[in-house]
Amino acid sequence: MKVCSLKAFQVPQGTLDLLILKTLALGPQHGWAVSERIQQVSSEVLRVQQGSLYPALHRLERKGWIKAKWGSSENNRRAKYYELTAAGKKQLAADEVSWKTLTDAVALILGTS
Amino acid sequence: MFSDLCFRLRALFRRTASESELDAELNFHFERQVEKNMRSGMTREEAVREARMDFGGMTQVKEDCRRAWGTALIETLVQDIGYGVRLLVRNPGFSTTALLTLTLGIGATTAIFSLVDAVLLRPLLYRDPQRLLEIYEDHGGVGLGLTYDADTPGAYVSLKRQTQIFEDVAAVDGGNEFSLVADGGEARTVMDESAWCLRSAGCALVRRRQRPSHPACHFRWAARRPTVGPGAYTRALDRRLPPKPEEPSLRRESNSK
Repeated sequence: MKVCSLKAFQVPQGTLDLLILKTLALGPQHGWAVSERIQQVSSEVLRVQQGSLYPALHRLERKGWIKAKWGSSENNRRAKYYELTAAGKKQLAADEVSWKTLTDAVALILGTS
Repeated sequence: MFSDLCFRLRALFRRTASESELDAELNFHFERQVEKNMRSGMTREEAVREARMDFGGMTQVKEDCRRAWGTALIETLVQDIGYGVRLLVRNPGFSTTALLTLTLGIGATTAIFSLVDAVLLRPLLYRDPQRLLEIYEDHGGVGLGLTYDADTPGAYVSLKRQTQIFEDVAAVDGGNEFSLVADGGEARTVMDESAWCLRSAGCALVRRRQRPSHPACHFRWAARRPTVGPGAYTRALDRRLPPKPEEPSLRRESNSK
């Protein structure tokens, strides 16, 4: 049972790519681990629906920002691991900068009241 | 860019592999979710139900993944074509009618366009084709019952000599030979088109053929830009024709070009 009183947010579309890239920057992970990690690190505030996680992973793979290979999971089951590519690292850096710029700007505006 | 292409091609041509990998990947996630739910104290049944609700429609998730592969357009196209072919096979009567209609329609359109193109759209190969006119005699249906009769050699000669409104007059005949009786009483045969016609139309003699059975040369003309003059025959014909009362000034202009 969840004790957390905060409402879990659906991750907005554009942000999801950034979150996935950032999570994968820590090392190769499979889809489930990515979604769990995002949920844990954000203190259960952000929830990634499978319905958007896997299409996003496949889209990022197509863009060449992450690559997939099959490996065995912690409990010895075959799982698809995603890993950041060089292009993905570059993209992550750029996305982080633009996200920072955006949130700073929004914060400035919200702070004026 | 290259990786994108590889990814799409693999998704397109190694479809079965891509599909089973997608199945395995989603199943793995589902199982992990069930395990997690059970760890939090649910029974297996509850855990599965919860995971299913969490997952949303599995078919929808798969569909979204396929869309992310970027092959949806081609696949939809292939499916639509397949559907169309099956439908046609199922209704042979309709298919035959449709096919026949298309065949006849395209055939007729092509034929009409070819005609229009040749007759209306393509300009004649002569210089100033809009200035070329055909002259014929209207006999009003008397005599042999022919309304239009071929010009007689006499009519040609007099037209040629007396013309004031035309730059030049030439005898033209499609298939039959055209006899000209000149002042010496000697018959001259003009084949196809007479020299003047081509000179005024800006064409040149390309081949000349001597036929033993006829006293005069036979000329073959083709529509070409002038490279050589109308040739000896013209001069010979001119000499044999009665002297012209007046040389039309327009012709001099065209000669000097």
